[in-house]
Amino acid sequence: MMYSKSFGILLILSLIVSGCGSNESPGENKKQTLHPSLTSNSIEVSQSWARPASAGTNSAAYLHIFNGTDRPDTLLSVKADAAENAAVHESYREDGISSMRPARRLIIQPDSSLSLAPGGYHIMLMNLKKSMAESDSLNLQLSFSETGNRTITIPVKLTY
Amino acid sequence: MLLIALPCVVAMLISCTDSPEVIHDLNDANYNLVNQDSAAVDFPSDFEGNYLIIAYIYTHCPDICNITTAKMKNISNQLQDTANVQFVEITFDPGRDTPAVLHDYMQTFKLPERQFSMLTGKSGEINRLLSSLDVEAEIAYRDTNSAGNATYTMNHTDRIAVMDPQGRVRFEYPGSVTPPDYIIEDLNKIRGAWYDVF
Repeated sequence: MMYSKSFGILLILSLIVSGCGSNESPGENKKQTLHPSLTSNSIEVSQSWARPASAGTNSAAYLHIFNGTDRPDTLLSVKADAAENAAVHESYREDGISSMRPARRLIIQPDSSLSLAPGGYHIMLMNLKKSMAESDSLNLQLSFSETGNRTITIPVKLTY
Repeated sequence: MLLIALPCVVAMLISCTDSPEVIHDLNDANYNLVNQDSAAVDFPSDFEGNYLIIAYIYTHCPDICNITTAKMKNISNQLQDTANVQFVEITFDPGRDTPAVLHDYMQTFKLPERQFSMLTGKSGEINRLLSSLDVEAEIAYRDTNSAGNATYTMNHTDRIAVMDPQGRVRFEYPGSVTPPDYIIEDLNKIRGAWYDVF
């Protein structure tokens, strides 16, 4: 049983590592199979949330972006009213060490999606201006190369 | 005949057990730490008699450490029998993670005080402990906040460990990506196992 579990963990890690090493990270540019009537011809943001944290520390926001337009769009930058600075970063593991790096240009192909999720791409909220507690919300501004700025309000959630 | 057979049977029984190896032995070690309430803690002796689920974190970590803490909370929630099990989170950023900051972190994550301890200490003592447990951490990304204070993130070992009541680490896992079920199963495997009293 120990061997099978070790194999399971190694499998999970290898999937993460292989995702980090390729040009496409997990969750990025997943082709959707939506019925044409469900396409929005716009950028859709869903499943957004941020983790609670104390003032002066850091947190992260996560979300799912779907490009319903007919051309590629790029997430250029992010701003958050709750933090002094915000930027898209990527968590990755190497030899058992967890690290982060600023994300490269995140291009979302037409009819595809990009997931910012725990353990991968995330919006890093640096130096929180005030504590964010469960049930609070914050405003995020996402700037896209093609469709411009998009401001959303996202909930602060304590998820386990 | 019995005198010959008995030792053989005992030897076979011992060889058949899959007692996990000791990864780190802190049985004779002592580290002077403080918890989230600023109470002095001798680690690991103050937890003697308990199985410990240990995570290594820093509270300014935006992503990975929070996933690990969530895993710890999940393990405590899913563990049916919590007798003689304690959860310990040790910071590798003692300069910023004061007892008050750790106390806030506990409240933010709603970690029950009867089960969880957040440990910090003097930098040298923390480094000595982390070194003995093979845990690495280093400053990675520096910034300055609006008040002019230096801020930073860290590259660090991502790990949850299980320590037995004798202060010996028996299991280690990649903390943020290991399903809680795996850890609970291993913990239950050694809890009360006859070989574990030695």
